[in-house]
Amino acid sequence: MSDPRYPIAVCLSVGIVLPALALRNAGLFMASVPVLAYAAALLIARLRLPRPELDVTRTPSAHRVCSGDDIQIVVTASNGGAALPLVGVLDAVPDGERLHEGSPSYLGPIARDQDVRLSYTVRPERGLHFQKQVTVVSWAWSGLAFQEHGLVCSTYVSAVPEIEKLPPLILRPRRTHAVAGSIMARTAGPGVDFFGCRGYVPGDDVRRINWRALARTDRLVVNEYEQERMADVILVLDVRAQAHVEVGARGTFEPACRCAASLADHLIRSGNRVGFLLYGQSIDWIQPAGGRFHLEKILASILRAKPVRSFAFEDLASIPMSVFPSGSQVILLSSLPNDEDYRVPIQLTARGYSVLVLHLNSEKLQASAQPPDDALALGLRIREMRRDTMVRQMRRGGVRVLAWDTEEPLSVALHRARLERDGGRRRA
Amino acid sequence: MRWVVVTLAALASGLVVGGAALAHLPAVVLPTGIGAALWVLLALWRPASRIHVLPMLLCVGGCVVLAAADATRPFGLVGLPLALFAWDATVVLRSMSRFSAFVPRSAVLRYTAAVTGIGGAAVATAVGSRALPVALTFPVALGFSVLLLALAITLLAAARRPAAASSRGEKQEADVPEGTSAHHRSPSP
Repeated sequence: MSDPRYPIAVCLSVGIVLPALALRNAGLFMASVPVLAYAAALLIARLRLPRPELDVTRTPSAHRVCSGDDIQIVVTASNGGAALPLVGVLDAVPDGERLHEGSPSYLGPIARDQDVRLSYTVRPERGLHFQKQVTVVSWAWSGLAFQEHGLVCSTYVSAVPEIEKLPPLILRPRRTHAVAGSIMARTAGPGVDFFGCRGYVPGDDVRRINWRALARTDRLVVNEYEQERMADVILVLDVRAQAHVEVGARGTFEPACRCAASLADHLIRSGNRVGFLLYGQSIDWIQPAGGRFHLEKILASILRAKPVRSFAFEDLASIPMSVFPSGSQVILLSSLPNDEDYRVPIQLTARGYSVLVLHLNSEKLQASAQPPDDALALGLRIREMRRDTMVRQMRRGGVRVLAWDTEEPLSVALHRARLERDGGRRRA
Repeated sequence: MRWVVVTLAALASGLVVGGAALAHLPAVVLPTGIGAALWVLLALWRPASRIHVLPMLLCVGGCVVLAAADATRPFGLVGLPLALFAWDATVVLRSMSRFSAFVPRSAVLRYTAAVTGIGGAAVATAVGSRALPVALTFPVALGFSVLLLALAITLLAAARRPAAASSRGEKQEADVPEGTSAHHRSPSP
């Protein structure tokens, strides 16, 4: 912000003196005296304005935190020049960070070789936040002139989504790698879960003989277990604006990002290779790989995600299926807003992928935002029926669908799905 | 500071509108009346707004018109510096309110002294050069006395400053956390 007073005072002086000269009016001459005096005082103050020689340092307590955690930021301004009668130091809090405690500004004098320290706490939202400069405004002794400087002092803070601890996921990809992992490989071998029985051959472990089958059939039979191997898992996060609902400060987008981060963390920790596709703003594709560094790459991609409306990605048909490794497990996080969206998971299944759709439900969120009335209830009921029809179609096409209400933790939904599956097995 | 702006703006506006009404100058009354009302409202509602320059120009314009006529000269001569300094206080308030809600007492004192000095110099010049008739010396001096009184209100506005400074001091004593830091040294002149 520049000081507008001097040019306006000069213009006013000229604007009064010239008519006074032209009209030879004593009253106008007298009126111009205070304005001229004011302009002269401003000019003198501007000329005598001290230039600050400040040494500014910004120190955040951490550069990477979970969104919602506090970060303490300390800004130190050291004056290496002449004493400044009145200085304002302002460290602007960037968009996406909320000031939680303390003050990011200072207003007062700074003596020669004196330090001023600002300490404040911010609570960042998900994303990468840059703080580029510290604003310093120096006033003249009289306060009649000031000058603003932007001192470059770049720091960043990345706030990753909060990672939730998830229960074991039941994934059934059609193809697995030869390396041991946590995914059931549909082949017999060393494992824990029962896979089947076969006749005994010399060399089989005696401990695996099924003694009940021997008693019943009088033949040596051994139990086989299902191998657990590493697999390729592709996470697809739908960031199209129409796939998400925003009600006040709450919405489905942030839970979806949190869910994607938690799944990536869980799957990589389980020893799998995870690929990641951010669908909606562009095709942001990360090839499947494992390890902590790869997890950081996925988290960095999630950091950049924001809901975007794009005509090129109006529906899910533009998902680049050819880049997915064949026979891999695909997990799609979406609310499938378009009528034709449910066809894409079915197409993926037809191409040999094993597909799990985490369907984002926002009915509770929308219902809580408005007072209950008949029209709202009817609208939600129609949406629910549409969703049920879509889910039925997808299940018929071989797609596994898990409905997840974004108002509850993902682990609860996964646990409930597991209980329902186990209950169904027991009933069968 | 906010109340200084409001007081000065209200005084300047009252003078210019009253003077124009007494002199039967409806062409001055209407724009300056609207400008004055707008100014006072702005000063009350949003003192740090940039738009104050418009009502200030309206008010100063009205004062210049009044000063040009013999009958209404005192109104113009007193109203003009008041309008000018009210706007100046607005700019100062706006520039400082970005950093703190409370302006340091010493800064307010220096600012008051500077503005009073300008006003005093203007009156002394006018009287010394005999441009100001003796009959007008009293209303002009009265106007600057009112100006001084209004600026003194700023001291009351800044009275809470020491409490805010002490709480800031406690924060400043906090330990520096671990982590890397960015660093900038402003260039020497």
